[in-house]
Amino acid sequence: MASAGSGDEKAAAAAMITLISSDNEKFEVTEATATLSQTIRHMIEDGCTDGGVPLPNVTSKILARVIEYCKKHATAAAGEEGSSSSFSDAAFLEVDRAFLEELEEFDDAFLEVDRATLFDLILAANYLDIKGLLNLTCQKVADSVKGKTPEQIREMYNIVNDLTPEEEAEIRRETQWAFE
Amino acid sequence: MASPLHSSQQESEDRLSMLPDDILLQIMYHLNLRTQILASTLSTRWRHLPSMLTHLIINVNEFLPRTETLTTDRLKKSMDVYAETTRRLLASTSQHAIKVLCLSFYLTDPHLQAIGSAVGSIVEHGDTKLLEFNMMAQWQDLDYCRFEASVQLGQRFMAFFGSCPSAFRWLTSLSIQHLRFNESDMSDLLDACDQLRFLSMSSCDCGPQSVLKIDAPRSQLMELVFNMFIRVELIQVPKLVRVICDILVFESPAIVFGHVPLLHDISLSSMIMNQPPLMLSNWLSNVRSLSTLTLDFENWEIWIKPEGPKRLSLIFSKLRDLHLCGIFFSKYNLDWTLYLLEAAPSLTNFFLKVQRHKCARNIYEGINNQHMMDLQWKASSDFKHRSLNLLHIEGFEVDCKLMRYIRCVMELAVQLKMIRLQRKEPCGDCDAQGQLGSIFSGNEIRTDLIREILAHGFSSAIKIIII
Repeated sequence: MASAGSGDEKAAAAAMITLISSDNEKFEVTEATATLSQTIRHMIEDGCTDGGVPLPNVTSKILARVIEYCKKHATAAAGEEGSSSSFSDAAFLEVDRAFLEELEEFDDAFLEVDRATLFDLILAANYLDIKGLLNLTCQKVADSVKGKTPEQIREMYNIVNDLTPEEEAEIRRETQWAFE
Repeated sequence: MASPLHSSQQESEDRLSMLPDDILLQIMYHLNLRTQILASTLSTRWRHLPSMLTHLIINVNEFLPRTETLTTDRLKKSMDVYAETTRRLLASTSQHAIKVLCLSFYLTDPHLQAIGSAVGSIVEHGDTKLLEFNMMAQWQDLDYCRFEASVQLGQRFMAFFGSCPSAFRWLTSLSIQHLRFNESDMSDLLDACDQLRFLSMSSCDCGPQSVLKIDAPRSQLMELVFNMFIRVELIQVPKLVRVICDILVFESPAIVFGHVPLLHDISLSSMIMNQPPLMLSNWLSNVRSLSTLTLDFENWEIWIKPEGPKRLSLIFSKLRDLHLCGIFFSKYNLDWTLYLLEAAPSLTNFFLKVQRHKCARNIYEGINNQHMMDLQWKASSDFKHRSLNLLHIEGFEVDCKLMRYIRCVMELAVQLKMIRLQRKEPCGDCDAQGQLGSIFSGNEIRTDLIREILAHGFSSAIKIIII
């Protein structure tokens, strides 16, 4: 536990969580950062985070990236709660437009990874139940196939076409419109 | 999920297809139907994914030719494929629950029957939380004879409605356009669609100058949008929260409020009113919890009658957001809006959209807003507004009257936190006339100057944003 500060600082600093990657690396994060993961949130609620949270499905390389995402987005969430509730949504958006733009830029840069890392991030986001990150990474995959032919998609992702010619003919008949 | 996730596996591996179903479905939800279908042809792994989707959006626009001109014949062909695809998709998903189903299609025969019964057999399971029909009119029909086409389309719609009762019973959202109904059709429709929460009727009516009466005590309707009925009487619509009316010319009042206890968001846009100006205090006297009001004058007459705050305060006591749009203000000032401010002590956000052209582009000089011009706003001696946080002005330009008005609001609204000024859309002709460009041309220094002029003598707590 971190040493006690005063006021808000104390509350924020008091709750630190240790995450342990599959290769046994320890990461110390604030509770606000960690609880972007619903999986970890439930563990905290059940009081089973003493001595650290082992995450046998996530390597240190990926966990570091996931924490980077959570840190950034936890700050965003805190900003939302802290802002005046009497503003309408439109007004609120204006106040934080610069911040939201920054967040978007962060997300874009965050997604500049090789394909293998992207899949690792997807699986980690799914396992840790981090909705924003799962959405973001799935969107990235979806964007990569938009406007592509099935053949191009197969090539891009090494997908082997195991359909029999008969099956393919049948599918083709039913879905002809999508190819036009 | 036993094994650690390695990232350094062979390049040739198909990691995408190895993802679990629910993640592949997550990815599919980011794709439109065409791409979802194309993805289903990749391999056996992908083949059955579309039938596992719980949210389906089937839009006829994806079926229309992308380059070819859309003839009646071509439209019919597209609707053939649309109806068949819808039928097949819904038949393949019948083992599991469809939670969200949004269908956009043209009102063409003989497709409606097929679509309706396919939908009916799905929604009868009772798992569908959102069922949306967005029905488009064939523009070809309308091109030739608008009146006959809308009568025919109205009949076709009612036949569809009559033949597919279960689909309509579960319908939560309905958008229709260019339909002419019989007198009793609307009440039959609202009686039968007892789950309906959103209804949008664009260019729909029951004949020229027709009135729509809604007396539906069991209705779940929450939002109503219309633009053709000369008047809508909301006799009993107990769940209604929002009503939006955009009509060219209206007879006052365009909306009559009966038993609408939850209604809190009203929007009325119109150019001209055929009657003496609208008295807000009378018009809204039955609306108990109005929190958002939008009045759009579409750069024409200000068709509300000026009233003092005393008369308005009862209807405005809970008002939080006020939008006054389409105000053409070359001759007239905006002082009358301050009455509305004074009458609404809870108002938090005040949006104004003004417009004027120095060039001859506008033809509005002859508009008679005399009743507004005569109005000299005199504040109650000690009036201060203690709730207003935001003043937003769209169509801002440097103008003595407008600058004075903004400073006046700043003086009255002691809690004001932000002023957001959105510049007037650029107009080449206006700029050619010179006058305005000099101080305000998007230059940062001049923006600062405007800010300084406005804020002079006020506390710096008010943030002024010029966009």
